[in-house]
Amino acid sequence: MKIVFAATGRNWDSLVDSRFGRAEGYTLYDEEKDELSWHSNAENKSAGHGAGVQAGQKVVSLGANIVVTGGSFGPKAGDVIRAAGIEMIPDVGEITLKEAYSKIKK
Amino acid sequence: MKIAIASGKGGTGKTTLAVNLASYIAEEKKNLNVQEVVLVDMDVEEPNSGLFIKGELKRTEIKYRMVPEWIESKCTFCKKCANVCNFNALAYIGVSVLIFPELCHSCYACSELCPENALPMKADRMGELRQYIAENGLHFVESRLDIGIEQAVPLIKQTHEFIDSEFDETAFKIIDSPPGTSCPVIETVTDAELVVLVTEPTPFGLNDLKLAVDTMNELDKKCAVIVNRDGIGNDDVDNYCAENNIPLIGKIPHMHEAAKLYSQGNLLIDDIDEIRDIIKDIYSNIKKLIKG
Repeated sequence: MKIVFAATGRNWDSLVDSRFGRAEGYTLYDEEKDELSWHSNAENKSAGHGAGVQAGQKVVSLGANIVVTGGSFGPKAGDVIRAAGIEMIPDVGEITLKEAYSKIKK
Repeated sequence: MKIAIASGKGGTGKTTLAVNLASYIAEEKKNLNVQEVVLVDMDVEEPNSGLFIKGELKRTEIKYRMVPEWIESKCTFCKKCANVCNFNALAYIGVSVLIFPELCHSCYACSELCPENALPMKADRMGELRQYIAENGLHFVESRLDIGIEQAVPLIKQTHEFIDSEFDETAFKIIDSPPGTSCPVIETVTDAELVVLVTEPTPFGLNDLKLAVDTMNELDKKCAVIVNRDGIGNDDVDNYCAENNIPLIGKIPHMHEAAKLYSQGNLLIDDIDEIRDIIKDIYSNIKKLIKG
């Protein structure tokens, strides 16, 4: 299972980002490999249009099974992720990735 | 001849000036030696000049813009379309291509570059253009975006095309612009010979006037300023215009009666002689600036 967190940083102690399309970046946890990887969203964070569409595509291309954000998904990002059949978990709040992971595992 | 009535700040009196100036010229057409007068409401997101113009509807045109349509059976998922789109209007998600028409700028790049012709462009309704003729002979054109359509520029562009084909060079065209300094305003003033900026003599008015003047300078547009609701605020707008050599071509006083007439959808020039005289002077100042 691959879980992507909209995140403010790359570690388990980093916070989940409350924005999705304009998050700092995306931290991917690959459960099989037990590995964290960081995917910056710098180019997209300040995009004039379509940040949600880009972010959605990025998460799809990372091969995510579950996507987590601290707040809500924008309408366009939501459309993209839903169309790809990825499970969306919004509103986990501004907690660490570690806390968010144990929360969704429950 | 085209002049645009614009402003940085909203609610300064663009429409008040546009409808009164256009109606004044229409009523005095013979004396002023003007062939035709056309008022165009380009504030397509919320056109309101029509509230003041009692005219007969001559024509309605539905306006369309072109957006791509995805044909799944032809697509080989090469991703070129999503990569080339500057506006992120297409998303490639492995099993399908999603199109977000609200982000599309109708540039045709995806459609032209698709090697499989899987993205033909199709017409998508965006709004309506209406043409009226008023009793005083004033021609009035307004365009209105449909609810939910985000982009004003394509409709403004098509409205320009309509008035350019419908009226020739001798017609005096007055364009009521959207507020602000963003793309819709830039598209609206694109071929205006003069941009008349309406402001109010307050710090808010001045701040946004400066933004509008900077925008017009960037576009190499000749500007003039009109102060509306003169008598409130302070003299900073006068000083700013003097320091920057921007002609201040008229001041419309702050009057309870003017506000009342406006709220009832009436023209100020019909009931307030003082304002009719001011509009007359504004017209002659505009003529001088256009010639010069």
